[in-house]
Amino acid sequence: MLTQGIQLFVQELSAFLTLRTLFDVLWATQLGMIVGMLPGLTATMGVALMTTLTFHLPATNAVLILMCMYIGAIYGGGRTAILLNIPGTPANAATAVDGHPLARAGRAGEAIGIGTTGSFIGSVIGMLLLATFTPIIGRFALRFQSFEFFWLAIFGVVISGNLTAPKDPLKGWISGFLGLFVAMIGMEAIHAHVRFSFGHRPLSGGIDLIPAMVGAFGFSEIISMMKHTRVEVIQTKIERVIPRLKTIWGYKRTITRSGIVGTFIGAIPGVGEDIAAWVNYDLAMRSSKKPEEFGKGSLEGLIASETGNNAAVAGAMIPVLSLAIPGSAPAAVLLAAMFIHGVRPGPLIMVENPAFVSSVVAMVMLGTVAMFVLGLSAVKQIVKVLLVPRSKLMPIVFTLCVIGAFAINSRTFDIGVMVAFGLLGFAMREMDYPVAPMVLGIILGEILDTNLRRALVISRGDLTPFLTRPISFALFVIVLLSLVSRTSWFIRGRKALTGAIIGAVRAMVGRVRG
Amino acid sequence: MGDEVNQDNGMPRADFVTGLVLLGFSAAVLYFSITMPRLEHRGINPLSAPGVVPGLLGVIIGVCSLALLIRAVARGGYRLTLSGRSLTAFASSPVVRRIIATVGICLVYAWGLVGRVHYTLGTFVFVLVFVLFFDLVFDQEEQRTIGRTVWTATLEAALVAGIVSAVFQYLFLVALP
Repeated sequence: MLTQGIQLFVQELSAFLTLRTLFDVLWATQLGMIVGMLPGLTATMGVALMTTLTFHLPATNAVLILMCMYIGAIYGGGRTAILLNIPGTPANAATAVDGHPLARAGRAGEAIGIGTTGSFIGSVIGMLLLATFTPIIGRFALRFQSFEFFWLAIFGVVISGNLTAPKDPLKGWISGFLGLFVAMIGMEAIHAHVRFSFGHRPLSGGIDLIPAMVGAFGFSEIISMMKHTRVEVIQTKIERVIPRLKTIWGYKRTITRSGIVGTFIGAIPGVGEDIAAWVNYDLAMRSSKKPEEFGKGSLEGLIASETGNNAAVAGAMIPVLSLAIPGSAPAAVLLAAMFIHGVRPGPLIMVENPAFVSSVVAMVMLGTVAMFVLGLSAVKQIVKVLLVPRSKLMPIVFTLCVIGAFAINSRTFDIGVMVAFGLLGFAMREMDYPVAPMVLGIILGEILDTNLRRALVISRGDLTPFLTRPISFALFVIVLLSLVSRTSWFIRGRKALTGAIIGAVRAMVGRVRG
Repeated sequence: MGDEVNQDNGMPRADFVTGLVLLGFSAAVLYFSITMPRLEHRGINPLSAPGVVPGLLGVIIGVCSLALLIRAVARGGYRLTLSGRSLTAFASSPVVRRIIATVGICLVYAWGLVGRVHYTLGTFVFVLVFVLFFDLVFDQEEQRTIGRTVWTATLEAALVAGIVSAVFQYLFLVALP
């Protein structure tokens, strides 16, 4: 099986090694880096806009360009985080904590070099885990029936709500369930009955994911960016960028851990690179010999967050390919793009189109190498992009949001959807509701709808199979724990129980000694 | 996010209002789901009726919004004080004015210009107005640079409108709106 996998990978990789494809890889990664660098242009927005620009291309080329853009954007945001203390994308917020103090101390070049190497290694670890786990999860998911898919959809929005709104998961869950409702609008898949359209013909076709995402992540970001007054660019001197091998080797444990943890966090539905970076930063600080340096310019903190966020990119593709459930918001756009191009990921992909998984692994590899090469070259020149004022950049972005939303189906209705979701997304951000669970909900809505009704018909209305089938039961327990573990009484009870156990152990130890 | 607008820590009040709106929304979803045709005349199993899942979602959203509402009430969010002075202070805040300007210009372009006037012309006007509005009104360029700002904004608007129109029309073969 391993030999067959490697064979497929080599075959797919060699198919990509043409001048045209390599050119696509380079420009898409570089464009992704620029998008990531510019505050206000996120990876999700970049990939969503690029989907509208590449939909006329053959499937493999389009997905390759989007994948490279995604990898480049998550990496590029680190550059702004280091130089300006403004994360280019939310995934680079943890990078700013130590990256910027390093830049202020005149070590910007070193920080960029270390960050680039961390991103490269993280992406490679993610790629290896993507190649290993996608077929395993895909084969396991072949055992899933409607009952399991129902729980998987619920699990997706609940866990995404938990992790994207850590301070207030209730708002994350509301966002997720609203997204599931949005997916109910229009013609349903079982009986072709039109729901919630109220006689409005364009609405009977449903809310398309791409215009909704372009609005929720693009237009809302434009409003957020324009509400602030000017941001001054700090001119920082950049010296040696290429890092020393000895320095990298010194952080081998942090890099390996961050790569693995980042990939697994990326693979959790709806939980993106930002959470992966923060979790890895926190883990690195806890296990560091010099925790006092964190926040003041720690190379270890910087490498942990940059390795983690890029590993999460490949991780986010694991559930996309094996379950057709996105691991992050940009991966959700990639999933939608695959559907647009007629590629249907999910449990059957290992049966119907096993070469596509190897193809995606090859795409990650090409994007990663391009990111590494471009990341270490032309650093000083690329940084000049940051001098473009927002008042000049944002109208261009909005123009692309409008034409991008329109182009896929040539419907002016989609422009309205984009604008409506932009305003909704902005209002949600202002009130601390995360947008990612809503987007995940829009994708999972159809899975929930068809599978719940199918399951009810199969079981003739009996709810027990939802709890008695082994995988169903396991998913139910995880969902229940995800919900209950965030309630105040559970946290109080857990603390009380822990205190009681520690007290009892101390008493026992005291008695033994006495 | 939102720290500048919500500096008065008005989140319980915002949650109270949102909770009420969501509760009303969930009741409407539930009502429309229950009254949705069950397609009996097509011999369809009632368990697969189109309203089953939206109804369930209506109940879940209702429960969540009720929890949000109860929490907001416990935190004093029901004390809504709306006075003319607070509204004036809110509307005159630079952040709010910038938000209104951004949304206004974008909405006029997306709903007022696109599809009604020639796409290239509409895009040219939008980019020009957007850049000039923010550079001249909000950021108040110095008198001596105004001419340069107008000139560069016109050039940018012409380039963006021309390039985007040409790329989508001739390269991607999209019939422009």
